[in-house]
Amino acid sequence: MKYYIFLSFLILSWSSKSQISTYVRPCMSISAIEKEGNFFQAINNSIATFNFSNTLKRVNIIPIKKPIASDTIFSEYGKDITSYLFNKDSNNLFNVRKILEFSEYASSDVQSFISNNSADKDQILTQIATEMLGKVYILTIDLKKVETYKDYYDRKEAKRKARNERTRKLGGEVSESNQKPIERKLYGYLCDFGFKLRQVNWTPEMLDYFYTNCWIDENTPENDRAKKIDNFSKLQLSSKVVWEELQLGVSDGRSKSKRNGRFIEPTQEQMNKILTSSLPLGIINQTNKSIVENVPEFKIFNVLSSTYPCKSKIGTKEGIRNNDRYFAYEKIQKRDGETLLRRKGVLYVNSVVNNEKDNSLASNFLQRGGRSLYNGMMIYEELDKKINFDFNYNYSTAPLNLSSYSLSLGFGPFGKRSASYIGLSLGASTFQDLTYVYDSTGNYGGGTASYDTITPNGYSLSVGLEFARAIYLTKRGNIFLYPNFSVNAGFLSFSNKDGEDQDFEDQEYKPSLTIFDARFGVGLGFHIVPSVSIFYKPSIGFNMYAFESNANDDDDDDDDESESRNWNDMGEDLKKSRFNFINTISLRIHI
Amino acid sequence: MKHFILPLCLIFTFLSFSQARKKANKDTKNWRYEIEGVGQGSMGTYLVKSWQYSKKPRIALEQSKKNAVHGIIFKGYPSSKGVIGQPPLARNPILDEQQKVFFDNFFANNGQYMKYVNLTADGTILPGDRIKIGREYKIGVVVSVRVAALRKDLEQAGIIKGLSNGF
Repeated sequence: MKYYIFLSFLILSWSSKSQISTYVRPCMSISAIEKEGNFFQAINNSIATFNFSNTLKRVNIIPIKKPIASDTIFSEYGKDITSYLFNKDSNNLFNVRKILEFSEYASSDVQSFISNNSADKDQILTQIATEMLGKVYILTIDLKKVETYKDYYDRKEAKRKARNERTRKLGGEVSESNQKPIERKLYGYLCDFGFKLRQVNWTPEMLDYFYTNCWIDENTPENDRAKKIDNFSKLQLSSKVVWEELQLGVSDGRSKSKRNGRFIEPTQEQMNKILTSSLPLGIINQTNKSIVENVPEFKIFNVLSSTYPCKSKIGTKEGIRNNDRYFAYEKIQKRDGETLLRRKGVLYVNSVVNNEKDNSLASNFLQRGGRSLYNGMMIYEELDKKINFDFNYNYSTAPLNLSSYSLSLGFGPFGKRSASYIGLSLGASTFQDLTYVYDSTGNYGGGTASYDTITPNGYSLSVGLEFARAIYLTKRGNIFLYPNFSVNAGFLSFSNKDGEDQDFEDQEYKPSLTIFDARFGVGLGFHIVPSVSIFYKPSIGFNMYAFESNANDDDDDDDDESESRNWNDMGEDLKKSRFNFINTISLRIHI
Repeated sequence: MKHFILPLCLIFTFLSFSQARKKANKDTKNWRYEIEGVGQGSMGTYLVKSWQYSKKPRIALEQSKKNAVHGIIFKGYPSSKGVIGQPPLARNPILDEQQKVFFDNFFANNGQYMKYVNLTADGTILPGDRIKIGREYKIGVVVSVRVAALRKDLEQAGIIKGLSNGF
């Protein structure tokens, strides 16, 4: 009787579902499309037998180990899932134990509180089960191509030979690098695959049909059972594709060990381990990443249970990780009664709690931008690509500034409390009347140097590598210190000047200067909005090393004709620029 | 002068906090809250969600316990979403005015009402139960109220009549 009440409640509550609950774990089965071939079968068998619960933390895995013959026949599969969720036994009897178990595992501490204080403890679990039934998915992996690294190298080698042959036929000369055979450094496998994620359509009508015509338990009269078993065998469960990727690639290539200068071939055992263990795991990891990024039902959401320190009752059970990004939202009701969510801040996971057994434990979050947050605000997982674009203006009073304007591509935040960043920058600057002393013969080492002083115009291009940390000063994380260190290489190009003596194009020697500098500073940053921040970065720059080469030297030979230059011999402007104070204003866009 | 700044700030903070609390208490007395049943409570308890309005969200959390008990005594709650509604314990609509002294003490801060109420673990709010409406917050908190004990104590104090008195 209890099951009838449960099912009736499911149907009733489906239609009246309005309350946003906590994150409800989707249920997902994983299968692979059957394919001929040893590699395909080995991977498919592993996918069917592996327990991916550590990889797919945020889902309840439905362990149906059945490769499917076709991409289109799903009603059989849907029935298997129904049998699993409603715990069908060998006597064709259904019960709700399994789905209530899933619900109990997925329940939040508020839901546990309500459940524990209710006369009917299963009521709240039934509500969770209702939501869960709307989130039943079938994942099908479709392997397209599996090859060993040996096959991959063979293919590349054949291509190389064919290309060289073609070049020779056309009378060309094969370059030295193309004459060498492909180096076979790795062993392992490469795999191309696609996947489809289908959602089972558990509509109220379907559930009603299932309950009325297929459900059997100990209370079902004997004479009804045969018909209901027959009905269940004919049950058609539809599904819709909610996300698919047609072409993904995964590879596991491991370095071969060397003996006497030669690569040692791997053992069969090593190869099997990759094929049946790490490759399937890689496939599932890639698939999971794509699903979490693109299917909203797989994104975690919850509420802030406390603020400053910000905490939310999610953890390892939901598969959250350090430095995952969450947006905090406030629910706002407008005058016309319409409600909307307004973003109020950005949080990063700071420490993850193990809540497998105790759902009252909360993970710590650090706010990094936004307005004041309060408990009860909703937080939604939002993938952080950890990419930053910085637009920098560098101002220096020194005669030479290697990069007045620069653009940086950065990565971060990494690390915990203080977020670490790394960035690559490209900069440009112009200069005028820069006093520069050089030997017009370029023969610095020959002992016959004849120094000329010129005051050319020109420009510099620079590349740099920056390391930085953001140390958040305020509880809302809007203001932060930004200690940073960078090394840069600036390439100076001198241009001709009308009315001056030098005309580099007519001379054999045109100086081209490369300067390496290091900068250290402590910046101050401010989040204008959580994804846009502005910095003021005062820093001290030190030009460490300079060498000069001939820009008019168009020989293709590899001889290095550059000369290291002494700062004292390069003129006053460069001497003054050796130590400089650089003020940088940056605008950062974080995605 | 600077010796006065810190004490003045403290006094100002205390006063504004007290004002917010007074405002919340006034809202309760003016029946400016809502309660709804969220489940059939276990023996002798009601499981309710009390919704309160406040400009200060933290005050609203504290107020939720008071509102839940107040609501069960004076308002009751209707049936909804499979939860059977309950009438108020007080059948006399002007009981709060007649027993003003008793209820002022009963609902004083940290008053007797605290005995009968149990907040969810640490006042965690369910997603969607914190809504900003204009300049105010409407916050719903799930609370378990020991109604049997509350009824018994109110009967013993002579505030409400026992169930048997009606027959």
